Amino acid sequence: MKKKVTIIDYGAGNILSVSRAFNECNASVDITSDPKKIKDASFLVLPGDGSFSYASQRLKKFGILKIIKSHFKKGNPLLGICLGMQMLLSKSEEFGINEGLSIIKGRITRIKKQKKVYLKVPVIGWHPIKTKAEYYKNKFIKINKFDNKKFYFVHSFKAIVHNKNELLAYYKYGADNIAAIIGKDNVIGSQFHPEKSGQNGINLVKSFLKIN
Amino acid sequence: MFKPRLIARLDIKNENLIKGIHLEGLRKLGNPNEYAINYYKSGVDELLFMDCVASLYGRNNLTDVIKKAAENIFIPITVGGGIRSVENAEELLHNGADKICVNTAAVENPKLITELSKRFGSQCVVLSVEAKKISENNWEVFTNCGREKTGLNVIKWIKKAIQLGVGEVLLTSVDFEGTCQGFDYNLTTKVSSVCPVPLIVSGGLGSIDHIKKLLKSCHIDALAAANVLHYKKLKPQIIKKYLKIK
Repeated sequence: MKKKVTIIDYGAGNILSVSRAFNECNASVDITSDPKKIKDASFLVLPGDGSFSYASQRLKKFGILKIIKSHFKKGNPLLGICLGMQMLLSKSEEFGINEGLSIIKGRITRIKKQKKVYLKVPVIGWHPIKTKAEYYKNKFIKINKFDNKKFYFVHSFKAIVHNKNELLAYYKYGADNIAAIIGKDNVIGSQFHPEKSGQNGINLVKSFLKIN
Repeated sequence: MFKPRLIARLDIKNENLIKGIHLEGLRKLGNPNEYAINYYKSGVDELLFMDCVASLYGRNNLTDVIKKAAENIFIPITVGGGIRSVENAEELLHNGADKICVNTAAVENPKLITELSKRFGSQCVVLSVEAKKISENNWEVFTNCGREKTGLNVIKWIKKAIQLGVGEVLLTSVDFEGTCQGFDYNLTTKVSSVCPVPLIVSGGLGSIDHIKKLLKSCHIDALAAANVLHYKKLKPQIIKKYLKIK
C-alpha cells in the first residue's frame, strides 16, 4: 500500500522537489497548509528554506506549531528538512530570538567564519556525514548505513542539541562538527536536503517511510 | 581536501538548449531536459538553467522547463534570467528551483537583492556577474547576456551585492565564454580575493589544463561548464576528478 505523506506548505522554499522525492519512493503526497489536514497526517514533513523568523511566525499564525507538536506526542513519524529541522529545536538567534517547536532541546546559531579561505558561510555543497550509530540502536531509522555518504547542504546557521544522544550524524567543516541529522523517538531532522542529494537522499526518504 | 562543485550550465532560449560564444551567436542544441537528466545521471553536482532572452522580453520563461526537470532530478537547480521581483522568484522556487540568479534586475534595482534574501534566505540568492575587460585590471559589469554596458566596476559591484545579501556569486567572463580557450585567470583571482561567499566560475573551460591552472591561481567554490559538456569534450567524471584542492 502507498504511504501517505503530508508536506506542510507555509510558503518557503522548493516544496515541489520534496514532494517529487516522496513520489520517487512511491508515496502519495499532500501539500497543504490546512490545519485540519495536517492534524490527520500519518507521515508529516516540515520542509523549509530561508528565514527562521519568517517560518516560525507563519506557522504560529496558522496555528500549525501546536498541531506539529501533538503529531509528535502521539508518536507519529515527523521529518524536518533544513530549516524544518532547525524548527524542531527550542530557539534560534537568527534576526533576534525566535521560538521553535522545542521538540528537541537546543538552539540554532550562526556558523562561525573560519580562517581557511574555502570554509565559507553560507555552506553550499556536498559533504560526507559521520553517523553516531552507538546512540541509535533499534530506533526510528537505521542511521549507520548513511555513514560517509554525501549529502547536499546549504545553510548559514547550525543546530546545537543539548542532549548528545539526539545528535545522530554530523559533518566536518574545518574545525567545526556541524549537526547533519538530529532525532529522537519518532522524529528526525536533516540539515541537508535529501530531495537534492541524489540517490543517498532518496534512500534517507525511504528509511523515514520504513520501506527499506 | 576541498572539492569545488561541478555545475552544468544550460542556457535556454524558447525552451531549447542553446550555446553561443561571448554569450552571443546562439546555436540550438536540443531539448534541455534530455541534457539535464544525462548530467544528473553522470554525477554533476548541480544544474544551472539560464533564460538567455528573458531580460530582453522582461520575463522568465523557464517555469515549465524547471517543473519538468524537477520530476526526476534530485540535485540542486538554480534558475536565472528575467527575475525581476519576489513574486517571479517565488514562482520559480515553487516549480522546482532551489536558488535564483539575478543580474539585470539587481543592477537596475539593488534593493531587490535584499528583498529576495530577506524572504528566501541569502543562500537562495545568486548574483550573476557578466564581466567584460575594458582595460588592464579593470572589468565592467554587463547585463542582458553581455549586451548592455552598466558602467559598474565588477569588483565594487560584487562587494556591494554581498553587503546587500547575495549568498553566492556566479562570475562569467564575457570575453572567454564559449571560447574553450581557458578562463580569465586574472579576473577570477581578483574576484576570489574579495568574495567571502561561494564563488562559481564560468566561461572558457576547454581542457583539464585550464582547471589545473584555475585552481592554482585562486580559490573557487564551483565551476560552471557548458560547452565542454554539451559537445562531450570532457566527461563530468573526468572534470570532477581534477576539481580538488588539497
